[in-house]
Amino acid sequence: MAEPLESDSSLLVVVLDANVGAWARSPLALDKALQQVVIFLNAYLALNTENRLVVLGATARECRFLHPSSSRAPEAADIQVYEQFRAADVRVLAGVAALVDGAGPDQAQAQAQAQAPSLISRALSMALCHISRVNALLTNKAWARVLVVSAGADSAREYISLMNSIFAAQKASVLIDVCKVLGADSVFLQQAADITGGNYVRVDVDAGESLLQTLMFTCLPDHYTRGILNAPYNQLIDFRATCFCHKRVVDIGYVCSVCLSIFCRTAPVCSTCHTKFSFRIVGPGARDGSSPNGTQNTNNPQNGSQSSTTGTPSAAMSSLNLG
Amino acid sequence: MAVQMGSEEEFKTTIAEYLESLPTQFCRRVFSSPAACLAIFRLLSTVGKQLIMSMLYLDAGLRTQDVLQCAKTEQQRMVKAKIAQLRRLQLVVEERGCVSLNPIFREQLRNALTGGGDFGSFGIPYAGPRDKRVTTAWLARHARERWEAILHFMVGRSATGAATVGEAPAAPLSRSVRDILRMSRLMEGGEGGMTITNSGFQFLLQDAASQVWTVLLQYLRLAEAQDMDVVEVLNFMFQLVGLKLGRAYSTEALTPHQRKMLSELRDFGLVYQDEHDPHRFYPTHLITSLTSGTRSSGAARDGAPAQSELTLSSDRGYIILETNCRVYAYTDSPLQIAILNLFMDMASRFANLITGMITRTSVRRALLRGITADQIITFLCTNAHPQMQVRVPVLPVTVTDQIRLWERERDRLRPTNAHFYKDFAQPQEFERMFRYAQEIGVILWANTEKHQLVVTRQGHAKIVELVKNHRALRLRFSCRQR
Amino acid sequence: MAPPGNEPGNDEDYIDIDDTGPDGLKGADGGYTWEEEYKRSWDVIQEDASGSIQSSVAGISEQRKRKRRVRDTEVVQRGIIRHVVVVVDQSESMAVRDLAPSRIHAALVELEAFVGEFFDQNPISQLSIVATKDGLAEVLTELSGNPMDHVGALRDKANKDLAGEPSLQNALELAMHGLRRAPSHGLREIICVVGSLTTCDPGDIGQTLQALRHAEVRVSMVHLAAEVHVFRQICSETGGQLAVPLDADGLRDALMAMVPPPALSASRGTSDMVLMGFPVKSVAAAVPTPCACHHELTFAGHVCPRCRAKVCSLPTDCDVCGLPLVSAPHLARSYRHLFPEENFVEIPPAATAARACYGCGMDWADPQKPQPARDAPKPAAGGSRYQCPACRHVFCLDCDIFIHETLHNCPGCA
Repeated sequence: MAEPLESDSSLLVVVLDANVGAWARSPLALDKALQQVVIFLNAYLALNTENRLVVLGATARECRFLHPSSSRAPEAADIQVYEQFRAADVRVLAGVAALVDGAGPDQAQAQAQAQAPSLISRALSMALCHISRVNALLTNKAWARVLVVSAGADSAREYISLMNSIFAAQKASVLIDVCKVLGADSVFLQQAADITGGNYVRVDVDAGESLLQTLMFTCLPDHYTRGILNAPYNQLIDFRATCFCHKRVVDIGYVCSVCLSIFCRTAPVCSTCHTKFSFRIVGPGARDGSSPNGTQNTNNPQNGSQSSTTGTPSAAMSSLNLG
Repeated sequence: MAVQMGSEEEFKTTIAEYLESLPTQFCRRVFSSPAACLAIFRLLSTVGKQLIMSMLYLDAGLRTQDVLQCAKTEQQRMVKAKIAQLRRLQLVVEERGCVSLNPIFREQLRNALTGGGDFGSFGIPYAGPRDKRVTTAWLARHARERWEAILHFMVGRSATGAATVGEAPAAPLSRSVRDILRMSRLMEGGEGGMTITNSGFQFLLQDAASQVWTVLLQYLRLAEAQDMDVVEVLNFMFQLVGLKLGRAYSTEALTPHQRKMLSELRDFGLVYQDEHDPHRFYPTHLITSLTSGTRSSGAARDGAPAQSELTLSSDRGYIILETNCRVYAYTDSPLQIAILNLFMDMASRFANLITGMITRTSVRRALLRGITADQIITFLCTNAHPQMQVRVPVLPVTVTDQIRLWERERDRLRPTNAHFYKDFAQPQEFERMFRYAQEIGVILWANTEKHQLVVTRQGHAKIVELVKNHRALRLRFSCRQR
Repeated sequence: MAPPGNEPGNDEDYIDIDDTGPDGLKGADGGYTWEEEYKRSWDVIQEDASGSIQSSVAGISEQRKRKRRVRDTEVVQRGIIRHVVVVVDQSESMAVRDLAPSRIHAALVELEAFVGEFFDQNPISQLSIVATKDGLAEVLTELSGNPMDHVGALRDKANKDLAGEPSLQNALELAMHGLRRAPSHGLREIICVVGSLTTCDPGDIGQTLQALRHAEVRVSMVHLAAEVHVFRQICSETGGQLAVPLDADGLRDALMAMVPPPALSASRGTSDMVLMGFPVKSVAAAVPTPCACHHELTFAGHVCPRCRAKVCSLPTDCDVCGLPLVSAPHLARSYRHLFPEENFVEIPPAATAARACYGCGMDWADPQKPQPARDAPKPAAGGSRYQCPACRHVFCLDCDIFIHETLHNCPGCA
């Protein structure tokens, strides 16, 4: 692919985590954060009149295009604001409000949903669909990137689809920037940023870091400018795997040759795809039946590979019975 | 696209230069409007924009060293130059090794993003009933007609153009338009016989946005000459740039100067105002797309494709250039034909197609009028047929090289300030000076037999020094001898 | 004009890669293809009322897209861990210029693309390249998982020196020898790109065939000239495929068809647990240290968890202790082959209330794309909707293709 030129316009897809439950735990309220994000969107639009902006809102239940959308922005003119900004601002604010309200009047149900993480992988998939469609229509391709403003935690259910999205993005040279507003670091999204060449930043609001300033500094530069500026953070991303049997991070693991499930010790049958293994471990110097790594403590095997939904993709995989 | 960008860039520097030349007091007033701040911001380079945005929500300044550290090592010099440029534009202040934004600019740009500040900075929409007739398509057509009438007027008066163009422009041009054309030296001569100048020919080959900027800059100069308040003119101009295409705006709150300006810009097709209804006006795409570069798009931002009727007719590619210098242009516009005629020989004309050749004579004819090879190439590139646009490079290299060679043919003589030495007293003196001049590499021409030497001006200073030193040495030497 | 009832564009863009039986040579009327009346590709293009051919061209490209829609989505065991030897014919027959600029050029260019795509889709597989000319065979690259090694070898100018006749037997024996080291749980494959109609062998190729079958090696071939009986026999008896592409596009399609991991036959061998290492990326050190793979001084690298050797890139085998080193995303890259996305169902526009495609969020009516003429035989191009059978969301054709070819998961189900 050609190098980005200074005059090239960009296509930015913002994925907004509008999960009320997650934001409720945040020191930064959703509406405050939203205001800052909207200013960032305006700044992005101000950079170049041909910059395209798409905003997706994601909750635990659904995922929706907020801007552009077929709903018309109210004509009642707010003369203070530049015309081009207003359409985006109004739609984003109204759209998030609708999403939050849409969580439902049923309190108990809403509570349950609020606990679940948002559908970030669905939003990413939709973003990539949109990008591929727009670029198919354009004669000169726009340089696309995705910004995920995330507040929730990782969801193991999403692992495979998230990974698929990441690889698709990498193939289309779409950068994925991640701005994690609260909670622990998201391992999946860290990998997303690292593999696609985007930036992963975590905003510590308690420590007085400003979401807006971080966005402006890290997520605003386009493909061209990123060739000039240094990446702000150079964090080491842990690409080690978690075993499916005990949810432990492993250095050396056993991998099923059929379904690629990862185990920390040998077993006669793969618990994911029910393949029967031959009685030998393949791999140079492998010792049969022993723990592969001294650091792994196998005293307390939890019985959770079929039912647990945290940590790794095993839950999603175990539902499919191969061969 | 790269070439296209080049012309835009060059043109951006002109407006930037104008802003740089404004005294601080003026700048402050210009920055007092959010619309102006936004428009100025958009004219900056990408790196400049990023620098400003990074600092926009910082209250304290940043250490210049830290800013430079953000850039990759090989790019730091470029970033430094960008900061210097921002400082010249008075957008940033740099003191004690810290850079920070100009406080007025920072506040108003924040306002532009958040929608605060000066009431009605982005225009006041007209509250009355809508005029069904005025749609974006209609406005585009109107603007195009007006603008092409001006270009037509220009080529229509050219000595060679007259033969092909034939038809007179639809509406006679107003006095202010002609004044500006004359002021900017795009045309010259009295009322009756205005003729196009060399810079006029260059103007014709530019893309529409550059042309509009040229006119607006001239308008500013004219305003200056007429003792109008430049800041008021500038601010109104930037306000117009920020308006929404296809919406009616009210003239109620405008000052008399601004109304006068509106009526004059109307003649250029930059705004539309119904003569019977002076209370409202519509901006056209010529002015609203000014800060968006050359690829015009009014509707493109919502993911909708740019509508073809919004572009100037000359913005749609219609030229096919073959490697053998033959040109096929799908056009029936007399204006475009006249422009093409500036640098090519017409062969035949059909209903929607003309064919011709780019020849040495035709290119030299253009060069004699002050049109440069780059301008011709940029014009061909910008207006290349979509089928050609997909190729890399867009134009056949053989032809572009040939056009450049033809241009270079013309400057075989290059004037350089120089000094000529002759009639040396002694051959050794010549030898010494010749060797010295050779060492420092300042010889333009020398004849060792006749003992004549031509050196550059910089070289002359050094040689004079050498001679002086030598004389002093000899003098001291002879003193001691005595 | 195209004959009635014959779908425009149907026979022009269709390249039969694997015309297995005699049926593959049969034309539409039941006779052989060469007995039919010659059809010209421009005959199917019809002008619309305004004399433009844009709509007709758009219609054809639309149909071409539709053709890509239907894929094999059966959930089967696939050979994710593959060991492939690519055999390149470097005999004089590869100098023929029926592919531009010559067969060998075209083959090497397409193989380069194949190698890139192969490692993209099979990140923990390994590849080796063998060349044959002058009746001999030689190994260009050993089995390895680093695409750059292979691409470098393919770009080597010396590869374009052609000589003599190829020896299929020698090449297969050599390839088999290389595959002997490969573990039994992996799939063993040989892919030959051949231009010669003859092979110059030292012995009975039938015995080689038996050996191949015994070693469970799958042999596939792309022949640039014609189908040769012995090649066909080797391919069919080892479970591979023989393709005879008509042009450069066909060559690409034939090679790309071999990129996705093939389905495993039920009878086939063993499954194993494979010991693998997941190295941690080492912090950029202040002092560069030598890497185990290239013996060059580098700052950063990946450290083998067993022997602490430093390697430059993943996935690879540790050069010191031989442990396969991968990162979790490499494994994740292969999951899409294990859980293929279900094909969407085409539904009429009236059957859905959705105003916009669920994937890209764009309205159905696309103003920029020229709509096909009203009297076009096929339904209007923008008219079809595609529904995911699982989540019931509705998509447009472009998104359908993107989802199944690139993304591999349905936005609605994700």
